[in-house]
Amino acid sequence: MAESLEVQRAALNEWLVAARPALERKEWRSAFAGYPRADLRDLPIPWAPAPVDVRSACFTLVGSAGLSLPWQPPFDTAGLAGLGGDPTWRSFPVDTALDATTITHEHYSHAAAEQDRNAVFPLERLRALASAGEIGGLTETHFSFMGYQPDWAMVMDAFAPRLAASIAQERPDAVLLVPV
Amino acid sequence: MSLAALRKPTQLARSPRVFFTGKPNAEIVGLPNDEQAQLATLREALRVLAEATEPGILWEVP
Repeated sequence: MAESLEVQRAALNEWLVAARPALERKEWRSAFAGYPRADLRDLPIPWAPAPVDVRSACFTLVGSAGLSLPWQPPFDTAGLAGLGGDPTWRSFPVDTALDATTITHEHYSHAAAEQDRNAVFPLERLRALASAGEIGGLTETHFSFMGYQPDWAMVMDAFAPRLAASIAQERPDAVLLVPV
Repeated sequence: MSLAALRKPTQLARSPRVFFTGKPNAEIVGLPNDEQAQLATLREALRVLAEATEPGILWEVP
């Protein structure tokens, strides 16, 4: 059985204080040696029925690769007062040219994504599936954020609900999440 | 913590319907410039979306 969320939050807060100097120095290995991951196994998992027919369903793409467009601010890798998270997202029109996007994310190798953004944000592939009639379509807007978010409580309490609300405004039938 | 470190649905606040595992970091959807492999991964996700009867399915990619 997992510890209560209150106990886990307290452990996280202690870690955020203790690890801050190492995080500010970007000494990730030592900073995360004792990272108190969220253990959510005891929380209920809501179940949503699938679209009746995927071929008529409209999808929104959400990825954590840290993509932005030239006119959008890049993600703040020194954000959250030095912890290095950035609880914001960037929006992408459905016809976005992925080659125009920039990656701001210090916690994964960009080798594959620099060759082909579809490896981390497959918007062009989804457009192909829509054109072929394998899915019903795509919403007008899609979303990317930086997956490095050390303060998981902030993600649970604020960031994820706000992003979910923005996604819901698109009124998709289903959401495709691509973690990186 | 990168989301790539989340290898178990139980570590997510809201478990997805299917969670692909075993893929290299940043190649979640497939190798770069391998359109057919990427489409195959997406089609598999769509299939599981349509057929799954419970949340949090782990799909191990060979």
